[in-house]
This record gives sequence, structure tokens and C-alpha cells, in this order.
Amino acid sequence: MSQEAHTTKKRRIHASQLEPQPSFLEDLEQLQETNQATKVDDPSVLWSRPTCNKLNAVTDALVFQQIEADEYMDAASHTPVVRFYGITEAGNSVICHVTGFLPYFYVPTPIGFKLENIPAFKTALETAVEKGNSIVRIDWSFKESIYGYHGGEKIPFLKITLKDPRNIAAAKRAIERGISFAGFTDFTEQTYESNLAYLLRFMIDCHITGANWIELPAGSYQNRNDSNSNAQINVQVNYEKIISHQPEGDWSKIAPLRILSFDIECAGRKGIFPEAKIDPVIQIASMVTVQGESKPFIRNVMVLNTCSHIVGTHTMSFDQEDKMLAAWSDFVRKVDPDVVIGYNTANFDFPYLLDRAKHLGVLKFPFLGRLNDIRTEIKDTKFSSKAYGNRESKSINMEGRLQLDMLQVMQRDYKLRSYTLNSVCAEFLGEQKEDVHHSIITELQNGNEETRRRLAIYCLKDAYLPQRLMDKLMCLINYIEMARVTGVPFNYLLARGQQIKVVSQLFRKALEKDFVIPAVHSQGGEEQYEGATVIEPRRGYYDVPIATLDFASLYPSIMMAHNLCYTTLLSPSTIQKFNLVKDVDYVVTPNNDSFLMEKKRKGLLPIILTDLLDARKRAKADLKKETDPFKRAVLDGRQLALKISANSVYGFTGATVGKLPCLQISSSVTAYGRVMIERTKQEVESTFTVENGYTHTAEVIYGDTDSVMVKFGVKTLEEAMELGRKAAEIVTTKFEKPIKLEFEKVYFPYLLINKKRYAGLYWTRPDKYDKMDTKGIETVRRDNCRLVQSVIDTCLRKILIDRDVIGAQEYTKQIIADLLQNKVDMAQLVITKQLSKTDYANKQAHVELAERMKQRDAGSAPALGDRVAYVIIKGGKGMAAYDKSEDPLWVLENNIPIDTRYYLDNQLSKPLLRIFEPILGEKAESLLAGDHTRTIQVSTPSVGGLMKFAVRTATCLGCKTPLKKGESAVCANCKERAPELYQKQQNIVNGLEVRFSRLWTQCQRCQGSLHQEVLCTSKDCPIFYMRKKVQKEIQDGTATLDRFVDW
Amino acid sequence: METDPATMNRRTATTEDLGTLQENFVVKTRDYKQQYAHLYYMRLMLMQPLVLAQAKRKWDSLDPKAKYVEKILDVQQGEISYLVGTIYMDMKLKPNILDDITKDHWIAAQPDRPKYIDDTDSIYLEDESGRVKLTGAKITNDFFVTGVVMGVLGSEDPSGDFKVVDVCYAGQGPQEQHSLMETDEEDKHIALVSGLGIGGNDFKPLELDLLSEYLTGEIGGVREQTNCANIVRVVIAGNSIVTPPPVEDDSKAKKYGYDRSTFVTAPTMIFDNFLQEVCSSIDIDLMPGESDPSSVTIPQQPIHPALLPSTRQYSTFHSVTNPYWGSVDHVTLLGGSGQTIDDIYKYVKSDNRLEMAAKTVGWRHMAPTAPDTLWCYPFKDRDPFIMSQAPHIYFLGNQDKFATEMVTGADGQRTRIVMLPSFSSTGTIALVNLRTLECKTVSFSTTKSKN
Repeated sequence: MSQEAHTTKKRRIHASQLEPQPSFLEDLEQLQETNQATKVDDPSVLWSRPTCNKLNAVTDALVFQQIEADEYMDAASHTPVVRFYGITEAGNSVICHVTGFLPYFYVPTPIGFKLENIPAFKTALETAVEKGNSIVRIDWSFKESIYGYHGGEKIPFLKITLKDPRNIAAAKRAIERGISFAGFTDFTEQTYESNLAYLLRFMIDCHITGANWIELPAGSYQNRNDSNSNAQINVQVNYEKIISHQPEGDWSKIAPLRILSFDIECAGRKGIFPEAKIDPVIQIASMVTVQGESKPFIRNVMVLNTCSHIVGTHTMSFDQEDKMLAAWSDFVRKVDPDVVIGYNTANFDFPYLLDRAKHLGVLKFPFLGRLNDIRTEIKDTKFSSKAYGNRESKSINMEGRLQLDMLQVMQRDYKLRSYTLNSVCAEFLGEQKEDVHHSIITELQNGNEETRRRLAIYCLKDAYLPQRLMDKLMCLINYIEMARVTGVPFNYLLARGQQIKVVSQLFRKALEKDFVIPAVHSQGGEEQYEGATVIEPRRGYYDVPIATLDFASLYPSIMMAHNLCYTTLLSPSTIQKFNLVKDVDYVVTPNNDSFLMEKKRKGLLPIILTDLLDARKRAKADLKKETDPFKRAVLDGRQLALKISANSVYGFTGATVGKLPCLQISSSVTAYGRVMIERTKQEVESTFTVENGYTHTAEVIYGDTDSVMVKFGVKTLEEAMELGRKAAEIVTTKFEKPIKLEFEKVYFPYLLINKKRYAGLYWTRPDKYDKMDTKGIETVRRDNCRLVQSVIDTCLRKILIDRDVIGAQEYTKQIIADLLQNKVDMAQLVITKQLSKTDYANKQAHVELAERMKQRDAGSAPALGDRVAYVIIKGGKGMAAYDKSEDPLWVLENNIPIDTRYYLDNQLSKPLLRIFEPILGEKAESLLAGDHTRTIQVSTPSVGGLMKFAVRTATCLGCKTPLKKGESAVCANCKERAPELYQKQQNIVNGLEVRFSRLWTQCQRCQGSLHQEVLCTSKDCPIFYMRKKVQKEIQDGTATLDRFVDW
Repeated sequence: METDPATMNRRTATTEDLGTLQENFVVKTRDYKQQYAHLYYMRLMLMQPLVLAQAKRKWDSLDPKAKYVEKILDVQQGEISYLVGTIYMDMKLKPNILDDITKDHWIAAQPDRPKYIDDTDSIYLEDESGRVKLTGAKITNDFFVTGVVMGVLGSEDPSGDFKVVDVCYAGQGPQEQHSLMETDEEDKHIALVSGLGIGGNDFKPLELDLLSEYLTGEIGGVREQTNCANIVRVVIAGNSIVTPPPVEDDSKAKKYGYDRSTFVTAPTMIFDNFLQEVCSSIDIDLMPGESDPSSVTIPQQPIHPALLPSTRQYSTFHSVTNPYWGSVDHVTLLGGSGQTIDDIYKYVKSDNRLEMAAKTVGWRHMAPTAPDTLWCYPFKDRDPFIMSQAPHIYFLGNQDKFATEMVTGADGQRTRIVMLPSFSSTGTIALVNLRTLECKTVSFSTTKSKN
């Protein structure tokens, strides 16, 4: 058979040479042939990882990038084992078991303790821990505590090595409570390094950082045959054999990680948020991309019921939901992703899938990790951090796979008005996303294979967007670099706060310098210390250049300059004991704390900071040279991580609920900062004076934390920049190295509203401004409507960029007039709030509205978890504020009057006054009252109230006189003006028609189909209400135009 | 001298009612509840059989055999097949109302570009089932615009794109035999005028007077007058009046909440006079154009006769739609005031407007870019822009220069394409011979011509 086919093919080629054919036929044949070669019948062959030859443990070294690690107790030896999950450069998956590393902690030896007391101590401690044989050994070693200066003397410590990390806490508690043994009664002591997680302890001791490369030399490891492992390479190694490559040079590379981005759709019931016990999962779309490549190489969607083919996508139909779920879990195991991403996957998609699989009895579903004997489960976690706030979420374990829920990343790293996928995409990808209301999802699913296909496309898009977001924002690379810089495992970055990163670095440095770190109990005291200083702002609008002088990395450089550290902290008794001399051996900080000078001992924190900042300098220098965009991204991520890390050290010392708070350090840092800002002000104001030959006397108009704003009085940018540079140089000489005052930018003009509230045009070069910079002018707050943001923004631009204060006032008045006359687009007035629970203690506008909408139409009403969009409408006297919220669409359809006063008084007025007061003073109030606020237009509602009794009379379009019988458009007196009035009306309608066309064709484009109706109901989309409104207006407009028909 | 001017009579011609062809352009009650999907749907429904017939004719005899795939999504990778669907051009520079709204409005709005093309543009073929990206030299070397219904031959490559090796269109529609016989009499003509531009910057009253006198036979020698007497109809293809932007009355202090704009009606009056003069001796079909006081979306509805109080009395005056179908002595004409070509111009590389007009004839669709980029009424039950007949004369007003071409269809259909320049900027009108379909220009320019 095959031979025959072969010959026919040959013959055909031969024939084509004989007869002249149109050129496209040749193309055609070519196509057919290449296609035959590349045609993929079953796209699932692409799923597995590249094949991997069995390693020869004797001759082959194994090199891989570890991305995650966990620990377990080896059942046979009862010792802990660290399990690394990683990827080789060829893209093969690795699980590496590291054995032999035992947990330990320190305790200072009791006075009079001798070597021969060790066995007794050991027994006593084991008894206290209530586990026989739990302590492997106790060694006697000389160490120095990190906390405070002790003359550089080392004192004897007992290093207690245990078998099981879980027993450390018990041992620690026992010693802190007091234990008695041979001749020692109630020996009570603080323990050291007993509060460090085993995994981190191991990584620190082995010099392994997060996500770095690990090498196991040939002959150092053994292959394993683990039946429970999905990895291609399974090895075991003793911890002493591991070579850990620091992420530098070539080892900065990132393995070809497989990233799975997915999204699910559920068929909910009308008006009810999907519940896993009842509502089925109907589609699961997945995209798999190899890190560093631009396009996903696997694109598929699993659909319950049939689904039409989607170009370039592997569509899989299932007749039963449990089969689909099982297939998806098989898919995940087969593809074996290293990173799993999505949008709100942690709190929705994964829990839903797991609950649903449980409900349907899909037994093999909840094994999504690399280990097929560990069940994937949902746990509730509470995450609370000073920097990120409190957050409740769910966590899902998937051994060996990193999880990056892009929603959590967004909430952590960016302050946005809204975190819906739609608005996040609009923000970062610059595109709107079609949003299908969940009531329609069920309809589409229950339709035919075409409607399901439509839904599948939507689902695929949602699966792809997180990947694109991640690529755009470089999250993965930045997180990997952060893990490398700070040395913590990758998953700590999302699950833990800032402190752990400093802890990791501190322990690493302490190990290197032979210090031990006490395990202090967090007191959780509300001890407050004085923060940064603020020079009282001289509020106003400055139409001259204002130079800004910044201290570069202020707090880190203070710590470095004054050698502030745990290891250099002096107590009065130590000073006495070692006869230390003030200003020779030690300094007293403005906070009256004493620290040893660098020449006596360089502090650990200054060393860490120096390392970080030097590394940042190197990264930035490399970044300048590097041309490869991917390597640039890594370097940029690194320098950012280094900067953040350096800045977080200060916060660590000040965190009272922390691992090792030391308020002497943090208070001294801020005290130095305050002094320096004051000093800078003095220096600048005393140096740059008319007496000293300058044209003007400089004036510091504002200063905060690490920067001062100076008005040199000069008129041009060049002069201001020149003086700024000079001032920075002069002031820098007055401070210890490496403190450096830098001249960075000039604000011109500058609007100083209040402390931490200002705006200005930002210049670093005299020829062109860089941007408009605003601080503390809150336009992103969610409970503001868009109008506030756009008005404030435009005003600032007019004032700062166009330097047109009058124009800004005119604009403001016009907007207020438009608002009061009901001419502002509805989308601008919409306020949104999430409906997170229904039983708020107090009645809330959005909850009440959701209830009312449910009564109107349960199907389209917002369900729990949805965001409710509303506008404030005019209510009768005494109507409660929460009853004045209304659905924008309802408002449009029924011409319900908007409470424009509310928007003026409660939304616009405060922010407007804030920016205009520094300019206009008392007169600013005039913006809010006056002529432009006198004309008010209220739409006539078509429902409710008196409207039932009202009779509508047509009026003349010229003079508004009621029309007589036989007159359709104008009255007899206005007859002459009819052509003009007609054209006027025609113009209005034309404007609306263009709007209609542009809006609806845009939606048609956005949804990616010309032939299907637009279904999108994305309330975040700026044109959503517009397009609805224009439909209505145009209908009214043409009706009016039609009145001219008989004229 | 030879003939007494007073005895010279204007020739007459019959006009025929083209029924739905004409009526389709009239929108009686405007309804805006529907979306544009219906229009695309109707277009595809109506044109798909036409294109398919051509495709079968062209490709069914191929070896290797090409298979017709009814639904675009059913196309199988690697299988040589052909599809019929609507073109969608994905162009990043295409004006986007979302950008206009969300972009910080302080950045000077993007200057109006003459063209919105970019190297990253991609082309898709779509039907109800979905769309597929088209690739291949045949695609990149030709030009297409959104909304054209056409067939493509090729196969899907592994990346899911459809590599095209040949394309086909509906081609010219059927045509009634053009049967005007040669007679002893001189040939009749129709005059095509566009862009009088009254009230605009280029408006020259003298040229308008000359035109009026020419059309009414008041100037020139006997030859001109004879020529004129042979003109049986004048079609004015839009942009007769330039409506100046409403003037804000600055004399009064700014008052919030009142529309103080007034419309200048002088140009309309001048136009009314002009029409009245010409109508006294000849039939005029008046089409609205972009700048005229009419609806802005196509098809533009007839200019309200009440705006032209003197002219409306004449039975020779016909206010018609734009685009507009007409028939004079059984010669069919289809004309537009130019927006259709102006819009296509923005989305293709070519600068040759005549070529674009010829393309629309081949596509059998005069306004494919409506509604995507050309504002258009959201039709629910029809697509009036399909050229279901091949007109004998197809003219497009308000073009930058005069150009003409005869295109011949597969079944011998002949269509005279006339790119009609704007009168106010060129002083030129065109005359088309109803028998030979030949076309010539008459110039009234009072400024020195460049040649």
C-alpha cells in the first residue's frame, strides 16, 4: 500500500513538470506536502516533556535549577529529608532527595557546665521533649550572640542537634521553661536559632538560595525508583555533596520552565454564584508556555458536550463531567507544569475543581502535584503582614509546582482601582476584554456546538491573559530574582511577608561571621517610635523651578554610615566594662543610643547592606551593557529586588512583632534621618543667599523623609538644575559616607497641597519634561467615580503642563455645569463595590441595590462575590442614602434623574478644593457655586411617582411654546427658523449616529466576530454605558427629527 | 447662426423605476435597537452563494482536487480546500473609540492619518462559525478591506493559519443588455457633478454661474449649446453645501446650559437658487454628501426638500439617497458621493482610487467597509450596498481627480467607472454618453490650470 502511494505521488510530480500550470498549483502541492510532514493528528503527543535518557550516576553529573523544596521524615531512618523539585536545562523534571542534614539550635552553656554534663543534659532534655532518642548529639562550641557588643569575646554554647525538626520547638520550650539535671536545677536560658524553619536552615547552611542551580557531581548521588514520583529524574544525595551555584554570570539563567495558565467556566444558576456541590464545571481551557518563549505551545480546551473546532486549538469534548475532570488532571500530570498560573485560581478555580471532583467522586483528580501519593487539598490560610495587610485566602498544595495566582500578585504589587481581569488588562495590556455575564454562560453552554465554541473562545482568552500579564509585568522573573537575592524559597515570596527575606539574609551573614541569633519572643508591644520628619510645607502654587534633593537609599546608608547593627549596639555597662570612649570608639545617635564605630568592628547589617547595594550597582552596570532582552529583564528584576531588600532591613529592626526587633537601631535611623533633613535645610538656606553672591536666597519649601524641595528663586530650569547639583555636592560633604544627597529632578511648576500631597511637572533635563508626577492625590480610590479621577487629572494637566490656571477653572466650571445638566456620561458616574456578604450590620447602598435588582430579575442581578455597579439617584425627601443607589442600566432605560448634587458635593468638591486652594485661596469656593451651577436639567423619569398622572405635550422646538393642532415641529412664530432648527437637530442626530457606529463596531471588533451579536456586559469597560445610552438618545433624537417631516 | 437658439430643444429621456434596488437605500423608520451583526450576517447570506458559484467555476476542476469546506472552522489541517467568508482586517492603527475615550485626552489627539495601514496588520476570513487568519503571497500582495465576502483556496498550516494560494470574488452582477442603438440623432448624455462646495473655502461663485448657464444652455456657441441640449439629466453627487461649523455667539456673556450656536443658512439659499435655475430646464437628481445637511451614516437620506423652498416646486427636481440607483433610457447608474472609496483608501496601501472602485465592482459590493469604519445604518434585513446588478455607469463623487475606466465582466457586463472630481476644487464635471458609455469632462475652471 505504502509503496503504491509513494509511486502515485512521484508520478504526479512528474506530470506537473510536463504541463505548465498556474503558479499557485505548485504552491498548493508544496503546501500539501509540507503539511503532510508536519500534520499533527493528536495534539496530545505534544504534552509530555522532552524524553530523558537514564542518568548514569557514576559518570554523569546532574545539574538542575531547583524551583521548590519541601521536607519529609524518612520512615526508615527517622531523619528529615529535603526534597528539591527542579528542571534541567534540557527541560527534564527532577526530584532530588537530600539526606543527612539534621536540624539544630544553640543554647548558652550554664555557668559551671562541664563537658561531662552533656549526657545528663541530653537525657533531661529528651525527657522534657517526651521523645526518647530524639537528640542526636550535643556539641560544645564557642559562639558570639549577634545581639549587642560583648567585647568580641566568644562564649561557650551548646549546639543541640536533633533528629526531627518537629522536636525543636518542644526542646526550645523546655529550656525556656527550665530543666533540671545533674547538679543544675531549673536551668533556664534563651535559645538561639531555634525559630528557623528546617528547610531554610538547610538552605542557609548549604548556601542554597531560592531558585538557584544545583549540581550533583558524577558519583555523588544515587538514582531512585520512586513509584510515587512523576518526575523524569529521581535521585538521592547527601547534603555535603551538593554544589550550589550562586546565581551569577552564567548561573543567572533560568531553566525552560513549563508554565500552565488555565481558566474554568461553571454553569451557574440564575442569580446564584456557582456552588461546587450543584453547578457543573463545563469548560477548562489551558495554555502551556515554555518560559522565555512568546507563544504557548499547547492550547487546548475541554468542553462538556460537543464543541465546534477552534483554529489552532485542541478541542476535546466530553459527555460526562467526571470524565472531563479526570482528563484534565491527567493532562496536568502529563504536561507536568513547573508553574501554574491563572486569575483568582487560588480562591476560585482550584477550590472549585477540587470540590467538584470530590462531589462527583473523581478519585484520581486531587493528585495534581509531582508526587502521586500526596493529595491536593484546600487549606484556609490567613496572611497578615504590616506591608500587605490582612488577607484571608485558600492555599492549595501541589508538590513541585509553583503557583502564581495573578490576582494575588496584582493585589500585592499594584495599587489599582479595580482588580477584575478586565480592568487589569486594560491597565497593563491596554485592551478591553469581552466579559460574558454568568447568566449567559449557562445559556451558551445549553445552546449548540457553536455557542459552546463561543464560550470556549472566551474561556481560552481568559486562560491566556494571565500568561500575557505575567510576561508583560515580568512577574516570574522578578520573583525568581527576589528569591535568589534574599535566599528564600520561591513560594515564601507570595505566602510570607517581608521579614522572612531579611531573616534569611541575616542568618546567612551570621553563619559566615560566626554569630548566633537569639530566638526572641515577639512581644507584640505597641511601642511606637518617632518616624521620619516632615518639614512643614509652605503650601502654594510655584511657578518657578523647585529643585528636589534626595538622599539616595537614605535608611540603608544611615545604617552603613553610622555602623548601626545588632552587633555594634552598646549598653552603658558594656561601655564601662571595656572603657570605650565616646566619639573615638563609639557614637551616640540623636536618639541617645550608642553604637560601636566601624574601626572597632563592622556591623553585620552594614555588611549585608553594602553587599546588597554593591550588587545592585553591579547589576545596573551590567544592565547598561546587556543587549539581550531576556537577560536585561533578569538583571532589571535583580536590581529591583536588591533595592527592595536593602530598604526592608530597616523595617525589620523596627518590627516589634518580629523575629529580632531592635528599636535602638530603627529609632536611631529615623532620628538621624530627621537631623539630616533639618541639617540639609540649614545648609541650603545658609549657603545659597544673596549675601553669598547668589541672585536669590534659597528657601526650603517642603521636606519629607529623604527629600527636600528647594526654591532657589531662579527662573530657568538650567539655573535651578545647576544650583541643585551644587547644593547636593555641598551638603553631601557634611555627612558621613556613604550618605549621599543627590540632585535628581526639578519640579516646574509645582503645586504643593499639603504634607505628602503634591503635584508637579517632573524635569531631569532642561529641554523636555519627563512626566507629570503626583503624590497623595487620591484619584484611584475605588469609591470615587471615574469623573473625579478624570476631572482632577485634567485640571492638574491644565495647571501644570499647559500652565493655564484660568483654563483649568473654566474646565472645572464647564464640567460642573455639564454634571448639573445631566450631560456627563454615565460610565463616569458609576461607583462599584463588591458584594462580599449580604448581612452587613448597617444597610449599604450596593447591598440594598442588589436586593432590589434580584426582585426585578433574579437572572441578571449581582450574586455574592460580584461587583455591584451603581449610581446615586435623586430621592424623595428623607430618603435614606443607601436607598438612593440604582442600577445604571435601569437608570438609562427609565430616565431616572441622577442626584447630580451628590456627585458635586460628595465626590468632586473636596478633591477640587484641595488642588485649587493653594492657588486661589478663599476664592476656590467660587468654583463650586455661581452661574455655572444655576442651570439644572433633570430627566423626566418614565416610571414611578407622579409620572403616572403627567400628560406630555409637544412643544415648539424653537421657543418651547406648546404646539397647536397641526403643528408638528415648530409654532407659527418660529416657522421661519425651521431650516435652521432642522439642521441643528440633524446635527445632533448625526453626532449620535457616529457615536452609535463607532461604539457598536468597536464592540463587534473586540469580541472577535462580525457575524455574532455582541453579548459582552463588562461594566468596567468605559463604553459599556455609552453604547446603551446612545441607543436610547438616538431613538429620541430621530423621533424629534421626524417631527419635521411635514414642515 | 445656423440654428436659432430659441428653437433648440432639450432632448428627453425616459427614467425607469428600479424598484427594491432604489428602495433599499431608503430608511423609513430608523431603529437602533439592533447591532451590526445582522448586516454582516445578511451580507454573508446573500453573497455566499454568488461567491461560491464563482469559486466552483474556478477551482472545481483543479488537480489535486480541492474540497469546499462549508464552515470555516471545519477546515482540516493540511487538506487543500476552499472557503467562503467575510474579510476582517485586524489593523492596530484603525481608529478606536476606546483609545479616544481612555487615552489621556491632554495628549494631542493623534493627527488624522491619510492611511491607517501598518506592517503588523493581519487579515482574517470569517463566517458565523469563526475566523481564520489568512497568509500567503496571494494575500500580502493584494489588497482587501474588512467586509468583503470572498473565497480563498489553500490549506491550514500547523500553526492554524490558512495559507492562501488563490482568491475569488463574486464578480460583476448580471446586467440588462445595454441596447441603445445608433441613430441619426446625436447621442444623449448625462451630466455628473459633485462637490459644488457652496459656502466652503474653495467655492468660486463665478464657476457656479458658468455651470448653471452651461446646463441651461445660456452660454457658448452653437456647439456647446447643442451639446447641452443633449444632456438629458444632471446628477449632483454630494457635497453641494459646506455647512460651516455652528458659530458660537460671543456677543453674549457665556451662559451655561444654553446652546448658543446658530446655523448659517446662506449657502443653502445660494444652492436653492442654483438648483431652481437649472431645474427650470433639466431634470436633476440631488444626492447628499458628507458635508450636506442630511444624515451622516450611509445610505444618506434625501436632503429635506423644505431646505430648498424654491426648488422643491419643480417636478424636475429629485432629492435622492446616497448611494443612489437610477435608470435613464434603460442605462442603469449607481453612484455615490465618494465616502465609500474615501474610506477604503485609508485602509489599503494603494493610492489608486480608480483601482479601488474597480475592486468594489469585482467584489460586487460598493461599501464593504461599512459598518466597520464607514458609518452606516444598522440594517437588519438587507444589505443595500450589494451591487446585485452590474450598473452601466458607476460613479463616485468628490474624488481628487478625474479618472475613468470601462470594466468588463465575465459575462460581457460592461460598467463605466467614473471617478468624479470635486467641482469646487477642479471646476470639472463629467458627461457620459448614454449610447457608447464614453465619458468626457467639461471644465469651468477660472483659475489657470497647471498644464
